[in-house]
Amino acid sequence: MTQTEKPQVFKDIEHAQLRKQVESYHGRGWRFVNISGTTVEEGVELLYSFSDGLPLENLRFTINTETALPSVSDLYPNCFFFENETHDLFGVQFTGISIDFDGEFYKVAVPTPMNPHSAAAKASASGKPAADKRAADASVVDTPVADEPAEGEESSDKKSSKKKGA
Amino acid sequence: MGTKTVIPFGPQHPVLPEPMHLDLVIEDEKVIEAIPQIGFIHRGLEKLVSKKDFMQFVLVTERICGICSFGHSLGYSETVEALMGIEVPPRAEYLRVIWHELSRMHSHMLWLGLLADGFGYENLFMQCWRLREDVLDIFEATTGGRVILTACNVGGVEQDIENNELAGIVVTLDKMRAEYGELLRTFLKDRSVKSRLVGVGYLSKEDSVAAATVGPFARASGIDEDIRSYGFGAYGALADFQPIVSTKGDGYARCEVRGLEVLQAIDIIKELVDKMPDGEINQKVKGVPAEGVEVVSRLEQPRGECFYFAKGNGTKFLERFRIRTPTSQNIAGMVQTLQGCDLADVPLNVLTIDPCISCTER
Repeated sequence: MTQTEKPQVFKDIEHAQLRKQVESYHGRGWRFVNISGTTVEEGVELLYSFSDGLPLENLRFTINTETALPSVSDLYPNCFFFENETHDLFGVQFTGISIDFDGEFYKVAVPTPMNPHSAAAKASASGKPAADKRAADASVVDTPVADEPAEGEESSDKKSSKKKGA
Repeated sequence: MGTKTVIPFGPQHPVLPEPMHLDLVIEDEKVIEAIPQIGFIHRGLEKLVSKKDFMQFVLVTERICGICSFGHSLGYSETVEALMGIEVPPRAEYLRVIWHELSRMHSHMLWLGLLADGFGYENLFMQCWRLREDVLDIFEATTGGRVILTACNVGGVEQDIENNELAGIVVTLDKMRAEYGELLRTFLKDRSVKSRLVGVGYLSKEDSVAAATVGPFARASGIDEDIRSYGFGAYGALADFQPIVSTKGDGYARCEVRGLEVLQAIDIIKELVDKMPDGEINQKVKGVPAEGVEVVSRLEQPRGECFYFAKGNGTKFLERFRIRTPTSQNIAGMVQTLQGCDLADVPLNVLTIDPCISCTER
């Protein structure tokens, strides 16, 4: 009795090859399945999974949190979900996400909770503002609750909804 | 041409049991764009693998969602078993699928009830949920729990179901089939129901493929994909499993696919009860997941394909465990069904993908 996927296919690539590889899967009609992150010494190990029915293949590579990855949400629309999630939980930077929540996808109590070594987490721990605006937003979560915005000043929630184009 | 207006939908709304927000850009009562937002109830359950060992963590996975509770414990157990090379006894495989198909039945009946409630058919809603209680009674009789079953663990299952008890389950399901048939006829034939579902929230097969949708949502748009058909676990023992597919692509088709999958689940359970092997129900687990070993697996949950990833580190704690749930795959497709629909149809459209936000955010 087969219990689960066999064979297990993991392809090691460089992060610079990601876009080309994803275009290849897209061109062959494979379905996007998942993006998964794991914190490792060198940064974050990402796994991009694609399926063509039973065959399931995984692209594996490591990236640090200072380097931006190109979004593939133009090829696979539902990637926006996973790219925003990977940014918020691991601190991985993406450029060109179709719906970019700007670090406000998940309401997390600490920056990048799944990756304590990210630039945002380190900046938060040292009390310095992070270079990444999204990380900077996350780093203020631990500060005391601010007073009501002064007259003529918008709350951060209102600002973010404008950013999303709403 | 009318003026564009943005209407916020959710996160609290009568059709949403869980919080999800949509910014609806509308023009003359037609939705021209929908921007989704979740993230209100993220609990960080995946991170708990660093606190709970790989045997304890199955209890955490059960609590990811109250509807797919058994499915998550099954998906997790299968993933860790693949990680450690554990062979599960055949009887345990059969029992797992029986409980999983019962879970599918109660999940779909719960959804059918919510759908009836969504279009204002209160009596139908109550009848669906009344009938669903019979499935929960089976859970209670066989495991002691109605929502959190604690029946599945790494290596097999926690408790057996005696053969005479299995025969009793089949009798109960046969009785349910007759009653359920009447309810399903109402869903599929009633004029007022059809008026709310036919042609509403259409998603073509091409768009469904592009959006990478999964589960009944995808099968209602003609995508012939169901993880059960790959024969993992006891699904491989089924004589002839064919996914239920519709090509209509609208809300009615989603109702039809889920409605018929309840009957299919009854057939699967009956077939497995007939073929149930004797023997052990649990394999003793020795050692810990090896360092650097990674495994991916998939399971057909009631809402669609669920993806699991686990990585060992040579200790009793996993390095990483990841669940990608069906709803996160279906959000892009849902947004597409909303574009061009009437504002009044938005709640039903959202409901027809059967969103589960607890699973999605974990």
